[in-house]
Amino acid sequence: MTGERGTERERRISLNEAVFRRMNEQLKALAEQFELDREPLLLVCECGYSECDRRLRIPPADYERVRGEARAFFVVPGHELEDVERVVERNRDFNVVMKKPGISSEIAQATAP
Amino acid sequence: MMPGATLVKPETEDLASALEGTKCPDKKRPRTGGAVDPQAQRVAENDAAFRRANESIELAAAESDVSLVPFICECAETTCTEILRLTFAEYEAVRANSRLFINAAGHHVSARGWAVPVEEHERYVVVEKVGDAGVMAEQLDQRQEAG
Repeated sequence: MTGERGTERERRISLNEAVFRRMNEQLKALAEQFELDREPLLLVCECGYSECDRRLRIPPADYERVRGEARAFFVVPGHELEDVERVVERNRDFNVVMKKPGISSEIAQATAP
Repeated sequence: MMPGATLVKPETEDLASALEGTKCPDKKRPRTGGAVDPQAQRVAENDAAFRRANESIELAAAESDVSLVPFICECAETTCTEILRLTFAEYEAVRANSRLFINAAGHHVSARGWAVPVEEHERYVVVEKVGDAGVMAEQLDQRQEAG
C-alpha cells in the first residue's frame, strides 16, 4: 500500500500499538508496586489490531531489554504486520517486531515510554 | 446510570456470601476522624493504583482510533490483570464519581465488603466503594485534588 492511504493506515496502526504499549507499561508498573515483578509479566499483545485481546507472558528481563528500543514491540506470533514492521526475535510465546523506517517508526519513537 | 446498564440490587445472595465473616459496610458510617480501617485503606490504595494506570492508558488511547479502550480491572486484588473494554464515554461516566470503579464481573468480592456493585454492563460492572474505603477513594482521587 502506498500514498496517503498507506500513510494513514500506518499512522493508525502505530497509534493503536502505542495504546497497548502504554497498557503494558502500566501493568509492569503495577507489578513492581505490588512486588509481583519476579514472575513473568502477564501483558497484552502490542499488535496494530485495535480489537486484539490476546495476552502474553514475558519475563521481566526480556521486557526491559526490548522496551529499551523505542521501535520494538511484543506481539503474539502471527500478529505481525509485515508492511510496517519486521520480526527481529522469535520466541515460543511471543515475537518481537521492529518498526520499519517511516511514519510508524516516527510515531513509535514519539510515543515511547 | 449509563444506557443499557442494569441496576444491581444491593442485597444478593452472592454478595451476602462474599461478605461472610467480613464487616458489613452498610452498618459502617464513614469516619470523619480517627483511625481508618487498615483493610479499607489497603483496598482504597490498590484501587487508586489501578485507576491511575487507567488514566494513563486513556490518555494514550485518545490519540488512537481505538473505540473500545482496553482498561485494567480496578478491583482490589493486586494480582488481577483482567482487561475490560469500555468506550471513553463509559469510562468517563464512572470516573466522574470518585467512589465508583470498573470491575470485571464478580471481582468486587476482593474488596471484602468495602465495595458493592451498583451497575452491571455487558463488558464490565460498576462498583461503589463504601465506608472508610469510600472516604479514602475520594481522598486519593487525583482529579478531585486537581479540580
